[in-house]
Amino acid sequence: MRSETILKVDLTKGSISKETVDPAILRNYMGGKGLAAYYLFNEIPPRVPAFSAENKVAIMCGPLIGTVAPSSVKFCVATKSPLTGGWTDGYASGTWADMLRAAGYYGIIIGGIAEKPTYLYIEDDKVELRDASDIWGANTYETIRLLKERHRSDIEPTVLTIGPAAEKLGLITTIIAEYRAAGRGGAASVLGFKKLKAIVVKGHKEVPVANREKLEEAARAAREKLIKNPITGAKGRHQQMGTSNIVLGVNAAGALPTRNFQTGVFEYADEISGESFRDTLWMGGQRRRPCPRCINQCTHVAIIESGKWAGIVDEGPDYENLTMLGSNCGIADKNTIATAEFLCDLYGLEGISAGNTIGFLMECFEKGLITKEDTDGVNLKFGNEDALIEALVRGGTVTGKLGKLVAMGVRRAADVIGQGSQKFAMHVKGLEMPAYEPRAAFGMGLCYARSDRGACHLRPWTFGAECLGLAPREPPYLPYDIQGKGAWVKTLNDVFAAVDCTGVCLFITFGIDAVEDILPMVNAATGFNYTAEEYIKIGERASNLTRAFWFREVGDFGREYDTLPWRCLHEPLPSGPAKGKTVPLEPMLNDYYKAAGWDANGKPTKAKLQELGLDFVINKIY
Amino acid sequence: MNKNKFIRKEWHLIFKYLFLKTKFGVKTLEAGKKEVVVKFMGFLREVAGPEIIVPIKDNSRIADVLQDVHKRLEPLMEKELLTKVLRNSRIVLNGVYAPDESEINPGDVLTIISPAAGG
Repeated sequence: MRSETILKVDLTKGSISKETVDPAILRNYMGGKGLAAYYLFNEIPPRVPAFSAENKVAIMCGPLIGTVAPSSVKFCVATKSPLTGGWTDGYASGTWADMLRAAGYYGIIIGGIAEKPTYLYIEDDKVELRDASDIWGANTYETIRLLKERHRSDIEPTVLTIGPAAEKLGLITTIIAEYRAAGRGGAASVLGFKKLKAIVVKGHKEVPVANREKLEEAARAAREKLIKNPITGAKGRHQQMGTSNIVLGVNAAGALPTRNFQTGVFEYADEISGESFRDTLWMGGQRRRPCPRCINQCTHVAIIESGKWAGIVDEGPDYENLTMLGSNCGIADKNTIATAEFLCDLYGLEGISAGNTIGFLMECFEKGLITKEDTDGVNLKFGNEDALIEALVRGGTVTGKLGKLVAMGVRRAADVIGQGSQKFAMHVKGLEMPAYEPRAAFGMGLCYARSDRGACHLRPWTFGAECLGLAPREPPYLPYDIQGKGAWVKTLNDVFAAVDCTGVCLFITFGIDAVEDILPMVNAATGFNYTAEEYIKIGERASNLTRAFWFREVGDFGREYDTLPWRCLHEPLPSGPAKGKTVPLEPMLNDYYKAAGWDANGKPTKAKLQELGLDFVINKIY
Repeated sequence: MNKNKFIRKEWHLIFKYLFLKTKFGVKTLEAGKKEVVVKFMGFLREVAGPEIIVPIKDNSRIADVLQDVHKRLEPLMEKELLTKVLRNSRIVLNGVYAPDESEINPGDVLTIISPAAGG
C-alpha cells in the first residue's frame, strides 16, 4: 500500500520534519479536506484561540494533484478560523500545488509562531525557513514577483503568500497562491499571526501514481466527456464567460444579491453579466488563463483599457466576486468591479466577504446608523464606485475607522454598530453569505445554514439544480420544495466533500459524474480500489469530523448555530419570482439531521461516529 | 478591443447571429398581434440568442409555447439534447415561476432559464 510524505513546520522552534502518512489513514481520509480534518482535529489542542501558536494551518493535496487527471490542481487550506471560531477550509487552483507534489510532498502542517517575518523555501529535499523581513508589508503580487525573481533557476518557483490585510490581522482575508485565492474564513490571517509570509516551492520529481496506464485511460475518458459538454467543453459557457455566465439566470430566478440582499433582482444585471464582460473586458472569451490540464478554462483576464481604472490587468471577476462587489454593493460598472476584484487579490482580502461587509456598511450608511464620521469621510452609498474602491483600499490595509470595520467582517461590524443592524448582517456562524439569495432557492438556504465553515455556496451547490435547469422540474429539485430537500442536500454534501479530498476542481462535475468518472481516476492514482460507497463515505467522514470540530471548539455549539440571518427568515423578498418568500429552514434542517445520523441538536450520534470509524472523536465531544 | 481579431476568432457566433436574424427576425412585439416574448438564459442563449418572438393562439398554454420553441430550435441542435434541456429548464412567466399548464396571453414574457453552471 502506498503512502505520502507531509512536512511539519514548527515556527516557534524553527524546525521542520518530514512524516510519512500512515497508509491506513491515507486510505480513510484520502487527502484535501479529509486529511486536513484528520490532522487538525488531532493536532490542534481543544479550545485554543485561532490566533495562537498552538493553532495550526494545514495545506493538503489530494491524490490526483499533479497527475494527468483534468483540472487536478485544487489544494486545501484549513485551520481554526479567527473569523468564525470554528472549522474553515478553502481551496485554490492554479499551479502551486503541482509544484508541491513535484517536490515530493503531499501537504504541510504549520504550527508555532516565528520570531520575525519568515518564509518557507522548499526545493525538493531541501526545506528551509528564511527571513522575510524585506518582503513583510508587500502586497501579494509584489511578493510573488520578488520571490520568483529571487529563486528562479532552472525552473520558475511557485509562490503562495499572504497580503497586508492578513499581516495586520484583518479577518476577511485569503491566501493568494500563484494569483489564485485560497479560501475563506481568514486562514491567511492565522499565517499572518504566525509571521509566515510565503511558501516558495520548486520541485523536479514525478508525481507518484499506482497505475499510470489506467489513470491515463480514465483521464482520457473524463476529458472526452468534458469536451463534449456544452457548459465545460470547447467554446462552452465556461470558456466564454467562466462562472459569471450565470449572472442573468440567477437574476431571472430572483436570486442575485442586490444592495446587501435587500432584493434578488438587479436592474443593471445586463451591464454586469458574463455576456457583457465577455464582449468587453474579456475580449470575446479569448483572454483565458486556464489551470493546467483544465478543459473548462473558466478564468478570464480582464484588461481595463479606459476610464479612471485604466491599466489594471487581473484575472476575473468570477461569479461570486462579480456579484458581491457588484450588485450587492449596487455597482453596475464593469471596470469598477474588475478593479475591486484586483484590489482584493492585491491586499489578500477575500472578495465574497469584502463585498458582503461593504454592502452591509452601505446599508447602515443609507439608514443613518453610521455617518461620514465613522467612514473617515467616505460617502458610502450603494452604487458609489469610488466609495467601494476606497473601502477596499482601507480594508486591505486595515487603516482608519472604515478600514477596521471592513476588515473585521460583517458579524463583528454589526456588533460594533449595533442599533438592530444585526438583523441584516448577512452571515452564518460569522462567515459572510455568498452570492445566492437563499429566499429564492431554499436548498441553498439549507446549505448555508449547516455548512461546516459558515455560509458557503459549495457545501454543496444546489442552486444549479434548483434554479438553473441542471435537474428535472420536479421535487425535491424545485427552488421552493421543502420535502426531501434535507436528504438530497446531505447526499450531495458528502459527494462534494469526497471530491474536495481528491484534488480535482469541483467545476469539472458540471461535465462529468463526481463518482462514475472521478472514482476510476482516484483508484488508478492511489491503488486503493475504493468502491463508490467507500469513496462517498470519505466525504461523509470528513464532514462529520469537521462537524465534531465545531462541537469541540465552541461550547454551546448546536442547532441554533445552523441558522440564517434574520432577513432571510423574516423579511419577505420584495420582487422577482421569489417575491414574498422567506426560508422555511426548520423542517429542512430536521430532514438533514435525520439523513446525516445526527441528533435533534445536530450532533453526530455515537453510532454514526462509530460507523464512520471516528471512534477517537467520541470522548472529545461527549 | 481588436475588432478584426474578435471577428476572426468568433466568426461562428457572428454567423449564428446572422442565421437567427434571418430565420426568426429580430423584432419587437406589435400591438394587436397575438405574440409573446421568449427570453433565454443559460445554454439556450448561446443557441437561440437572447430572445425570440413566438406567435400564440387563443387559450394557449406555456406547454404550447415550449413546443413551438422546440420546433424552432431543432435545426440548431441535437433533438434529444434540446428535449432534455427544455424539460429541465426553469420557466418564469412575467417574473413568476409558472407550471407548463399555465395560460399564456399576448404580450406576456416567458423566460426560459436553461442549464448553466457557476459556483
